[in-house]
Formats: sequence, structure tokens, C-alpha cells
Amino acid sequence: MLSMAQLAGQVAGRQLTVERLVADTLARIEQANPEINAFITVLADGALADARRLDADLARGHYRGPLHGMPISVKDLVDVEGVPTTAASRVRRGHRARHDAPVIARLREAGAVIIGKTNLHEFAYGTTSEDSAYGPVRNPLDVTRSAGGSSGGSAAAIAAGLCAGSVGTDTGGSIRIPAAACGIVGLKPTVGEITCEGVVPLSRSLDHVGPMAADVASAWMLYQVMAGTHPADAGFHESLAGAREALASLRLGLPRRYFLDLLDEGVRVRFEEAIEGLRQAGAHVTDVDVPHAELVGTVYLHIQLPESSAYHAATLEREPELYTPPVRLRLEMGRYVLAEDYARAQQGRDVLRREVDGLLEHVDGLALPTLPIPAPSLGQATVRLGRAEIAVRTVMLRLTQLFNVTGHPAISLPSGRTAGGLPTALQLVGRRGGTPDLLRIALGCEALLPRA
Amino acid sequence: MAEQDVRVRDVTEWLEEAVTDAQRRGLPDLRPLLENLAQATAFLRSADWNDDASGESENETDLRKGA
Repeated sequence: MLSMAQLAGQVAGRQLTVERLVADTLARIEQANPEINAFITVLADGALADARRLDADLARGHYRGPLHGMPISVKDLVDVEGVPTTAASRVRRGHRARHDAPVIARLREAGAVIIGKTNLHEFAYGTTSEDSAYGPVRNPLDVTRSAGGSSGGSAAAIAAGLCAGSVGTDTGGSIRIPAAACGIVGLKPTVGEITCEGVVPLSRSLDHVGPMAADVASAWMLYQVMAGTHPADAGFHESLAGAREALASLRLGLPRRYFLDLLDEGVRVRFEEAIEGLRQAGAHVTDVDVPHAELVGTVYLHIQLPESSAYHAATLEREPELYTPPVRLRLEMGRYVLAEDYARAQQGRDVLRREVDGLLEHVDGLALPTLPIPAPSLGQATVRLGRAEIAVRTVMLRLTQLFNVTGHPAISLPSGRTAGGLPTALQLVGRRGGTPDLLRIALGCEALLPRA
Repeated sequence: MAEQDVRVRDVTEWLEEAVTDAQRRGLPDLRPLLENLAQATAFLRSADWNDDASGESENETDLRKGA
């Protein structure tokens, strides 16, 4: 599938009707979804009806902007009116959303066509999208591998050309991790920037909603609509035009200690190549340090576990057998975290936020890999990195969860492939409240990086 | 302090109670998860931002400093 920017140009120029675009997308879903299992629900009739209406709008001269007619998928954790929000769980059987989540209403208003609801790790509580009541998502680049998670269906759908973009959620890396595993772009904005209303929570203080797309410009277009700022607003096109030139004055911080300690060799090679490419383009790259970095995982755990368990307490008591066993166990584990340890973790969160804020006073952004490993095999429980044998879940969260704890915006973009042909990804982190600046940096970096 | 160097000390009793409770509730598979959580909790409690109400040790990361 062409990028969203290319498709938008064709729709605006009347070279492509929305109905044709949507019908072709639905045909690709029908062909590919049985193998990769990216969609739980395909909204074929509604999408075609919307497409015809949007074509009629265009014929009357009513162009809604760059998202006009774009086929967008939605992680099945987000409410779409009249459609079940399954959260990939049997616990949600019989659910039907009464309203669009505000983020969906904004996308519709901007002309997006909601084409379907994508598969995920049950209740977004996992990094591989394997534990789902609807079966595992398979990575379209290698169907024996995980698509990452928890927004695995969204990433797989984009990578396979089954939609132009997707709405994902990210509590510890659930947009960025599958984006990295599938070779696409995923943005976690600043905390609170895009409303989580109408989204099933995983951990209310860590949850974020954000866009996923094939490239940075497409993610940016989605972000602006999802955040409530229309892409046609003054400044957007100027930002796009100036992004590549800004690399020459870019200052990037490289948090080597902890964050680069445990990496797959193929990931390390691609990351160092990416940094060298940025240096050659004029970027000033310096090593920086997060003093309490080694405590990130434990702080995250003591916040996320009890917040998740609180949301699920009633159904854990009433119908625990409806959860997949691994998700049920993690939810039960959270019920044993003491309140005083939750308070300690919140204090640690303030410390970590202040440390990352401090680094970003001296640099424009941080650069690190998104995933320490390429997409793991389906069913893989542990991974060996150096002398350490580590749980896959722990490894996959290692480089992303800090920025859910601190709320800083972070984006994952493809940085090439390992010798084995699996995607690798660069993660860039910006100042809190500075998501557009981060996108500008990412756009410039993307032009230098090899595609996945 | 390296993560793997942290030893469970003051959370030992908590872990025993949690494991016993999980078994009583028919969740014996929770044991390894609780053991990992106990390690993480011990590590959290070793952080230098934690307070000591005696006032004997100064909290070097007191967020109210300079606020």
C-alpha cells in the first residue's frame, strides 16, 4: 500500500475514489487476515457506506483534509459506536460500544474511514499479542514470529498493507514495541495529550493513546487529528519542509548505561550505524546518563501491577476462568503489591521524571533502540543476551517503559534489518509537551535511515 | 547496585504469606511470579529516594529540595 501522504494526494486529486481505496483494502484484508490474524472485527459494510458518503462530499467540493477517505484500523481496546470492544478477551463477551471514543469521533470528522478493530494481547497486558481470545497475531514479515504487542494487530495490519494507519495504545511500550517488531512507525505522545476516554484501561496513570503508520509524516497527520489539532493548521507543512534541514543543529543524548547494556548483536550494529549516520549529517551526539535507570523496571512494575489489578478485581472474583491463564496470573500478582510499595514507586516516578527532564535541558532528544531484540518467535519464553537468560516480556519492555513512567513523548521508527532479515528500530524521546518537535526530529532522522 | 545483587530480606515474610495465600486460593502457579515480585520489591525498597522517619539518613533525592 502507498503511504498515507501519497494516498491522500491521490484522493484529493480525484485520481482515486475513496470507495475504490476502501474496497481494495477490504480485499487485501480478506486475503491476508486468515494468516496473520491482525483483525478481530472487519467493518466492511460500514466502511463502504462511509466511503461512498466521503466520495459524495468530495463531489460537492467538501474536502475534509489529508485524512479524507483514509482506511484506519483501531486497536480493539478503543470504543467504536455499535461495535464490540473485545479487548481480545472472553471477559468482554456481549459488549457493544454505545459511543465512539472521542479520538475516533475526531478521526471520523477528519474524514477517516474506520475499517476494523485489530487484535491485541488480552486487555493490552502483554508484549507479544499471543495471549488473545482470538488467537495470536502473526508478524507479516515472518509468520513464525510475534508481531510485538500489545498493539500487535495494528502493527501487523499496517506492515501488510491492510490499512493506512491505526489507533494504538501504549502503557509500557505497546505502540512502540509492535511498531519496531513489524518495521513501521509508532508514536506515544506526551502523557494526557490524547484523551484515553472510551479506551479500556490497563494502568490508568501509565496509559497513552497514539498513532501507528507506515512513516513519520503519516503518523504526524494522525497525531494532529487525534490530539484535536487539524493537519491543515498553519505551521504543519512548514514543519515538514524544515525537518530535514534541522538535523545539522540537532543535539541528541545517548543513554548508554543500562539502555545499551543488553542488546542483541544485530540490533546493536543497526543502532550504532544509525547514530553514525546522524553524526555524519551534522547531529551532535553525546553520551548522557539516567542516574536511577536500573530502577525503571521495578518502579514501573509497582505502579502498573496494582493499577491493572484494581480495574480487573471484580471480574477476577466473578469469572477468572475467562482470562487467558498468563494474563490472569499477572493480574492476580498485582493484588499482592502493598500500598506502601506503590507509594515508593510513585516517589521513584518523580525522581525519574526529573532526571529525564534534566537531560532534555541540554539536548533536543534522546536516542536509543526501541527493542533490545528482533521480533521473538511465537511461544518463546526467554531470550539469551550475553550471559543472561531473561524473560521475553522483561526484555521487550526494558527500553520503552521509562517514558510511560515519566510521560515523555517517544517515537519508534525503522532503522533497517538484522542479518536474519528482521526489522530493527530507533527510538527518539522528546521533551514533555514537545511532541511536534519530536516528530520534526523523527522526520529528519527517517530520511537518513534504511527502511525496514 | 546491580539488579541481580539484590537479596530478599525484609520482604521474606511478605513473600511467605503471599505464597501461602495464593495456594489457599488455588493459584500455585503464582509462586514464581511472586518470587520475582519479591526481588523487585526488595530492589525498590533499596532505592535512595526512600525516607527514614528517624531523620538519621538524609534523602539525597528529596523532591522538595529547591522547590
